[in-house]
Amino acid sequence: MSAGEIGLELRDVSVQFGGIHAVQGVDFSVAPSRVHGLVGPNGSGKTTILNAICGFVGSDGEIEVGGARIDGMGSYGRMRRGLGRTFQNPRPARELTVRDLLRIGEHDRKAQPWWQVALTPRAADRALRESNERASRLLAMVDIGPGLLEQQLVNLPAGVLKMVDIARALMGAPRVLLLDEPTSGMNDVEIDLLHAALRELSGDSLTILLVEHNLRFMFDICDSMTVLATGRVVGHGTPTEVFQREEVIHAYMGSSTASVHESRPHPVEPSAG
Amino acid sequence: MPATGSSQRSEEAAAPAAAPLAEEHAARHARAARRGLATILGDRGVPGRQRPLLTRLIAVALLVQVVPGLVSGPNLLTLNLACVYAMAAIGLSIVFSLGGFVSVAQAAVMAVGGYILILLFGPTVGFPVALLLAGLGGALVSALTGIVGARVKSHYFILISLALAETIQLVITNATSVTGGANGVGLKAPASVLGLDLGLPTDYFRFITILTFVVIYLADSLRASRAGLALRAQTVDGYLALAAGVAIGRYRIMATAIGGVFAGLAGGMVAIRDGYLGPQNFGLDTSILLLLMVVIAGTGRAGSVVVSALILTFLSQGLLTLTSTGTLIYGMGLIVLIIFAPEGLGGLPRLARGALGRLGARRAGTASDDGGER
Ligand SMILES: Nc1ncnc2c1ncn2[C@@H]1O[C@H](COP(=O)(O)OP(=O)(O)OP(=O)(O)O)[C@@H](O)[C@H]1O
Ligand SMILES: [Mg+2]
Repeated sequence: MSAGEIGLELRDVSVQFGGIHAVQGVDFSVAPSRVHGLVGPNGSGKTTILNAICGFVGSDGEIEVGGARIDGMGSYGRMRRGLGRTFQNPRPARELTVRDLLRIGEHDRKAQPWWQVALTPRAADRALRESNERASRLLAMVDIGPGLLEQQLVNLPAGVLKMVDIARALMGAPRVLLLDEPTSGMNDVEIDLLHAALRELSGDSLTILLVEHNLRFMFDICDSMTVLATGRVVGHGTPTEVFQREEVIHAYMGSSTASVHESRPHPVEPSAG
Repeated sequence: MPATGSSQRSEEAAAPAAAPLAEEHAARHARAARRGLATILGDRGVPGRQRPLLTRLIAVALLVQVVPGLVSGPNLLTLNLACVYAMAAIGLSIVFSLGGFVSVAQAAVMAVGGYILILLFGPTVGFPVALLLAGLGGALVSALTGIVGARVKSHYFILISLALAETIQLVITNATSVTGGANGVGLKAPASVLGLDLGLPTDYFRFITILTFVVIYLADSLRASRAGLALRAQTVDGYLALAAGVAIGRYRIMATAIGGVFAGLAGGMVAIRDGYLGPQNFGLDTSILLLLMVVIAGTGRAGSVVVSALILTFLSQGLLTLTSTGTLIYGMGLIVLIIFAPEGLGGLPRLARGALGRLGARRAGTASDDGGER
């Protein structure tokens, strides 16, 4: 199966928390190598949908990655199917350095029995060097130097922590990447770097599901979007279509329709891919 | 098109990906440097790499040669006991800091290893085989707690381990025909291995030192491996581990099993040291002493567990057996340690660096807002 065929599809996905419907009958599909946006007000169920896709919360309905059903699998099996995800608030653990985090991200991509380190230290060193190179390359893409690898996560500024978390997810070489509000905490320079990086990645046949409140960013990068309100889908379409529909603007923005249009800097350009 | 998402294509990715961003790069590096991020420039070789095996071997050889000439009598016996406890405590530190389980059953796991060795070792089963089986027995019993423990909330685990410890004590005291009950059971034959007569404290020291180094090496290897990292991730943030595709339960059980191997070996070595085993060797007080060693060492490397095992074994043997004042000093010492080194001995160098950094900053007359900050 070539990586180019991998997409993501949700059919009638629902999540309940003790009788409360956080997500109800959500359908959408993301074509391979496309960037799909998921927008909606706070508490509309965006993160919960990502959690349902990863198997962090139980859900009803069908979820497919690359045409194969993954619902019913544990998180472990789903990640092995090529899923990767980042966190809305990555935990700034003092116990871990950037390098540790990135190596953790690599976990399911490369098996390494623990006794390999004891019995064949050279092979283990080689594996470590490879993973360092891979980490440095990924960080370089968002302009973070290898010097940062030794830093404890707790010492990172919020935006850099988010960036490192994205690199962590990419270390696993996912084919479908779920991003939860990646730009929150980032400054404008970082957002531009992220934009460029995501463009490259989707050009390289990575399917991206993007949850984001930064509408300008969404408008620029998404090929298609789904709008949520209180756990239900209230609209689908290209960014241009979505931002022009009254009910969507109403659901998402309340009355402040103007800001969407003001924040539209460029015409929509079709994505490479 | 530059590529970074998939491993096979990322080889050619680095250069072209970076090129269009060159100007941005320069600007951001300057900003990062201002924010104190690019403190360490460039990659420092391969970190997480083990201290070369050769250095370890030299250290063992030196210890084995020098120490038996310097230490003798009861001190050597205590030193030997400290090494036994160090092995068990290293095992417990894997269960504790990698598995995320607080166990008070480590002495009971030692008991399993100890009784396996003392009952099997004899004319038919050689010492190395009996010792290996002791380790295996420890692994099985300890893994059992892991299998149950992986299903319950972490604070219930301590109760499960307590139940296991009590059960094992009960079995030992009541299966009189096998274990000798409260009277204990003696070693059937003198043990020797690698030309060392383990009945002699000096030779025993040589062997246990080698064994302890093997255990340290294996524990450090586990910690440095991807499995060890997955375990650390799992204790720090369960969702992070899940997102990385870690089969959390399986890894935690593995941690308890490996911790059990070391405890089983340690138990076997208790039997050899004393030539005799009784249930009192492996009481709850021993489990708690082991837990203290782990906590005081901090969640650091096996080396710091050995240091705290040495300190606590000598303290507990020396002070507790003397007077009630000794007990008081022991208790106070522990409290002082926990107050002033909340991260254990392993955290001391970092605390010291932080303090020095603050001092330096004060000298330089600058506000130390990022000196010792965490
Ligand atoms: N584990 C949980 N247990 C109970 N309720 C939950 C849980 N996770 C989420 N919810 C509820 O589900 C609803 C959707 O939350 P979710 O975090 O998915 O929103 P969101 O769209 O990501 O919001 P935001 O933009 O603030 O991140 C909220 O009402 C939230 O309180
Ligand atoms: Mg959210």
